[in-house]
Amino acid sequence: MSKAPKYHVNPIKSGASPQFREGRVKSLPDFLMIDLKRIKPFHNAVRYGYAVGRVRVLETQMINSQRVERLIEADFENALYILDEITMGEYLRGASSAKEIDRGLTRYLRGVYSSIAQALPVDSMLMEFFVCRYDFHNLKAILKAMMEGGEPEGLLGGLGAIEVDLLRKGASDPVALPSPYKETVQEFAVGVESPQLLDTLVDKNYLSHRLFLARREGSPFIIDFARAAIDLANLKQVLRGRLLSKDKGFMEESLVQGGFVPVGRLLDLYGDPVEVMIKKLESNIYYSRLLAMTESVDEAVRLTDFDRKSDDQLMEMVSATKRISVGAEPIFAYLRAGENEVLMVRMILIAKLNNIPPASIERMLRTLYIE
Amino acid sequence: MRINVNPNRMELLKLRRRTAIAKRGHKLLKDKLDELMKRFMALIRESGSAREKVEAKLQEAYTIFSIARAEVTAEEVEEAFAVPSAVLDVEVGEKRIMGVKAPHFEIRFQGGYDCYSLTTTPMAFDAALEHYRELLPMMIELGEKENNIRLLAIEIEKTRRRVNALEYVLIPSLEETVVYISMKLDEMERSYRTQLMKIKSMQSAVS
Repeated sequence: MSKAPKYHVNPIKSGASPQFREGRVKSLPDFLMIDLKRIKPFHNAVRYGYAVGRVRVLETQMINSQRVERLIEADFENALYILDEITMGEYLRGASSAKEIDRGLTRYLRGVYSSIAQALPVDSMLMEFFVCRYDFHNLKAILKAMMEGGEPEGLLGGLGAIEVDLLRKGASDPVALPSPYKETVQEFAVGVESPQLLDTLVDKNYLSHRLFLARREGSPFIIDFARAAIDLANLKQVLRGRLLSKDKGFMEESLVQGGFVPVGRLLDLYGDPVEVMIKKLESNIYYSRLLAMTESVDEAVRLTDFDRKSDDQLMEMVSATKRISVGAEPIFAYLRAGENEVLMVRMILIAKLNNIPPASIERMLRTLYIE
Repeated sequence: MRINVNPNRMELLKLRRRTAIAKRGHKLLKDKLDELMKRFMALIRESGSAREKVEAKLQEAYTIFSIARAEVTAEEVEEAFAVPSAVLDVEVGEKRIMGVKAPHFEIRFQGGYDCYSLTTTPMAFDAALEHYRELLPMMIELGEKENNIRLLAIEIEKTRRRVNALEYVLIPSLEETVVYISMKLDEMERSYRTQLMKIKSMQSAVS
């Protein structure tokens, strides 16, 4: 059962709706209920006007559902021809292996990021919100290579905002790094023994940093998104932890604060049967939906569906911003949709290379931003 | 082919003894060959079904891994498994199958796959790794069986060559030589007898 928002106002109460004024309408429909705290000065949103204009043009070049259907039905060669109809095709021309596909898609994503970065206001945190993932990945790769006593070549991604050389230097001298990478390396230096604990440390700092960036950006929608992403990450950890028989101590170390569901509540439920967890978390609609799915008998469904459903959940949130005409949200949605698009194309092409049947490919695919 | 020996009684006895030994050896080798064939066929059946199981499981594991791989970049996969935490001990021993020395492997896993992130990697990784963990002992066992088949095949070939050599070369030539010596001795005896009879008739003619 959904609760009514604590603060709400009727934007047309002052006269636009004669029925309401005359008392003929007792309550307003949900879409007119607006959280007062979320109303921002219009001049803040207008700063993104130019970027939103660009995004609206770029959105026409994104993959839509018809094109996805054609991609699924086509063989690998023809799939590349279909992709040639949109901008992404240029980057994938001649690709014949999974590595080449990755390389092409990385170049495409870099193009997407740089075209938006140029149009954003200078103080915007949006780009960092998306790109910090790659910096954290690179830092993690460098620290893992240090643990193993090897070189991180082959582990590093090419999309980060921080120079790899700086990260390498920072791995032994953290002062050289910006926050929160500096703190991550310092915590690592204190004594992280197993590679999974390093993963946990970096992922925690990554998700917390995203929430921090969302708060700096000041958009309630982006904050909600970051919190939902933390929730889904926590849920994923709980479920995987149960399957891999991880102890509660590990969970205490790895769950991230800041989501809608308090970590303590999740820890209390850790060890309970899934049905009990569903019951106790039923107020969070996406939690119970995802938990119910993990009980599927079909292993393939269970395994691929969790990641798909959680991405779809986030895309559902993102799609809600389509009604916002100007502000950080449409740009955020476009960037998220761009990542989703790259993921979809990678999945389809790699599945084609590995002879995975179209029915299985369809089951893996995420919801599209552009229908 | 007859053996080149002096046709005397001593050689005859020696050759008869050798023929008897050769026949006994032939029988034993033939029995060994039959048993080797029996084991060989059983191993082929076992390894056939083991291979089918391994291939089915491998295909399943590859499919799950391909799905998981498609969700992340190659660098993310490499990073996830950059510091492996599971240790596999392989102990190589020896066992004998019908006198054939064959290697025997015993494997032991230590630790789990606690080397990758549970947040940023796809959930299908867990299942793919679980499949690979189950697959590894199966593959080693299959390799052991197929190697045993190869060693048994070599042994069968060797034994069959010995059996054939005894059956078609040594025993026939020994028997031929025995017959030859016997005939030669008989002929010599007949010749002495004729000589004696001739001498006796000459003596009686003189007296």
